[in-house]
Amino acid sequence: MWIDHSGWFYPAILIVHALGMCVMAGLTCMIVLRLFGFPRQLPMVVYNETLPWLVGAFLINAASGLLLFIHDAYQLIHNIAYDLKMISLFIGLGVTWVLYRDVLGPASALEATGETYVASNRDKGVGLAAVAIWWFVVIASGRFIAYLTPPS
Amino acid sequence: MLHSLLSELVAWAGHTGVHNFMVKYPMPFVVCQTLHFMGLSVLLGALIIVDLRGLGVFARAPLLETHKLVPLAIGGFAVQLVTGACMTLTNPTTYFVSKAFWIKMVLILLAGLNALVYEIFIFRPLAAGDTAVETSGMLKLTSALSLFLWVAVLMFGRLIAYI
Repeated sequence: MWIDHSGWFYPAILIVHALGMCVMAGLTCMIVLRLFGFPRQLPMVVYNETLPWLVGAFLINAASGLLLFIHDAYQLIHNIAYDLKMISLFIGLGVTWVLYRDVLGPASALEATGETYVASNRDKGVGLAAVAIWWFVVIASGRFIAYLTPPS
Repeated sequence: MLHSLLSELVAWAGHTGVHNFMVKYPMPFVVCQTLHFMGLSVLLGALIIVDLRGLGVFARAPLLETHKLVPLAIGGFAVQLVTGACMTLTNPTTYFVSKAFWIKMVLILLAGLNALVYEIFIFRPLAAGDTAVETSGMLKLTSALSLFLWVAVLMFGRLIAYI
């Protein structure tokens, strides 16, 4: 495999993958804090405008993740943590889509009319679900993959 | 001289209570790794908004308001500092002899100094009502440096296992 032949390529993919994950988990966390009112004066439109950054980070992670999968396919298909990560990743994508479409979009539209946006319990719930999925499942299972890998 | 200093550092770390605890059970190290990454996520998540605003991306965000996210970044860094110290004390032979580890430490120091420059030359004048700093080159420079340095910190953190 050419990933193996080049000594620096595998760590380079790992770095890119970690950076993308950080951006996704970190931005989702900032969105949820804003839904809970921190910082109250920061307009919702700013959070709505983070979408391209989140999508960019996801695409980078999908590409780098695919390369990592190709590299370790045998170990990964027998790894429960990896299955859990993939399932939660798709759920996370769905919840994040709802977060932007049903929460951040309407919130910035409301603020554009001069009204003040206060997050409903449903909005907060969607945000919390997104952050819980990206953080606790994707990151944790990503970490645990290395520890649950069966011997090759 | 540097070599013997490193040997002493490794020997000291190997006798600390934290080291003994961390090597006794397998879970604390994995938990530290996860929390370390989460701390970085919060730090970068906050700084992406603060620094990209500094670079003119989220122009509709009041600059002074974005500064309220800075304590979150500091909180994320505090989590990293504690978990990072625990991991270093667990495997001192891996960390203290790694070039990537020391480069990472220097980068963190530089990122800290850069944040200090931002506080003194951007935030304080702005809080005092000087809006001229909003269009200053200093704002763009510190914002770009901040993102660059923290991404480099992540990079060299990952490389500890390799260099």
